Amino acid sequence: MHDDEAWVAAARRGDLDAFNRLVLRYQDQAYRVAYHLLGDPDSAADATQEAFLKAYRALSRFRRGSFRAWLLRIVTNTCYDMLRRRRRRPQVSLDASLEDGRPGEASAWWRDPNPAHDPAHYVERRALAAALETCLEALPPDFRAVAVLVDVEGLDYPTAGQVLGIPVGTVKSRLARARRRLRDCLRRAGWGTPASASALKE
Amino acid sequence: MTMNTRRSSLTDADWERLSAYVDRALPPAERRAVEARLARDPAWQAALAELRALRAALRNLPTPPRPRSFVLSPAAVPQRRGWWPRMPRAWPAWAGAMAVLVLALVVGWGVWSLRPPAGAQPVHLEAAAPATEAGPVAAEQAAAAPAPSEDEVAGAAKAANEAAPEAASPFAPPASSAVAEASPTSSASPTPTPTPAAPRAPVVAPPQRAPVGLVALCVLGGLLVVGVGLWALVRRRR
Repeated sequence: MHDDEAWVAAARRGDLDAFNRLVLRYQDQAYRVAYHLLGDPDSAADATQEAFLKAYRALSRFRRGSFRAWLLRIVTNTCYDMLRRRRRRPQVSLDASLEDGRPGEASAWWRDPNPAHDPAHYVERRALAAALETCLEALPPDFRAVAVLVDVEGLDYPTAGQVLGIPVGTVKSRLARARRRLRDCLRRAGWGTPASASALKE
Repeated sequence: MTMNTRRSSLTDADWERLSAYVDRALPPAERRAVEARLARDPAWQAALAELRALRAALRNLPTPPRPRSFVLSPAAVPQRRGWWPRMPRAWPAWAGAMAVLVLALVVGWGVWSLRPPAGAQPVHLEAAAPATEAGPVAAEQAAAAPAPSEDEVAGAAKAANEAAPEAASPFAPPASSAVAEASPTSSASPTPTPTPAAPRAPVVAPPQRAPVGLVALCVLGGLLVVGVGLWALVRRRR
């Protein structure tokens, strides 16, 4: 993205509007990554906001390369910090917050991209999504991050490696292991039969 | 048919290769090897189907709509460093402009006051009038200093410096400003006033004294502005 460089340069000179153009461009992706890493909307919003603030403050330390990768790295690191803090304070544990909000939110925010889908398929996809999210949350953060960046966000291996600060070979092996764990988890949840595997496809 | 008996027995390395194959991340030679294996091994075919389905499901995973915009407001952006307030970009330019203005005033004042005083007597009185307002302050400070000797300028400044806290106690001005105010008085004192007992009288100051003091004050002010401007510039560059 050539615009990125110009906006980064302007933002580094103190132009907040230029930085906000970058925010507008990447806030959806940043929020999605944070959401799938943290598993709840409120924490994801907090992490995203914090990450953009950090990025603005650290802009002078950004030199070359992909601004998006640099930004997503800040996002993932912020999420890691939050996960660590959560673990240190068990009274606001992940499970508790999930039990509080998950079912209601699930029905509120699920929006089928194609309304023409028949209801049965709709329900099935929704159930699959819920199962997948549960399985994602069961992954260790390092594995979850690779799966989110490559599979959910569609980044290529080199970019994911840049974001996570690991070599491409590590992305490849970590992703394969994450996928295997996810497959096993789905199987245990009843999604492993050949019939449901074909349902998975669409 | 020994191959078919190896169902679901892909090694970790096999799975990893297949996983990368799904992402088209294999070098050509390895990719061809995987394709050859896929053509004859149902276990690999099943694994490939699973990987593809999993990938598609993850790609379509819904995300709740973003709850708000994360655009940063100027108020939310923290000050760049410490207590120093956020300055507009052109701040050094403004400081420079102000310094130029002050210098122009000083020069103008100097040129104007150095005119031959032939027919300009009333104008001179007008010029002395504001000086009487500034006069008592300087006079009081001079009075607070114990017996200012005429040749020791540094000594007088030091004494005024020490006396300053008692003279203007409620505001407790910084010591440097006391020195700045004291030094023009002490530097001016040797020239026009032969009697040290006089300074209490604020009536009519000698015509030369007030402009010189004011000019010195203006110069100091100008230097101060320029200095602060440069300092801000240096801070910003770092």
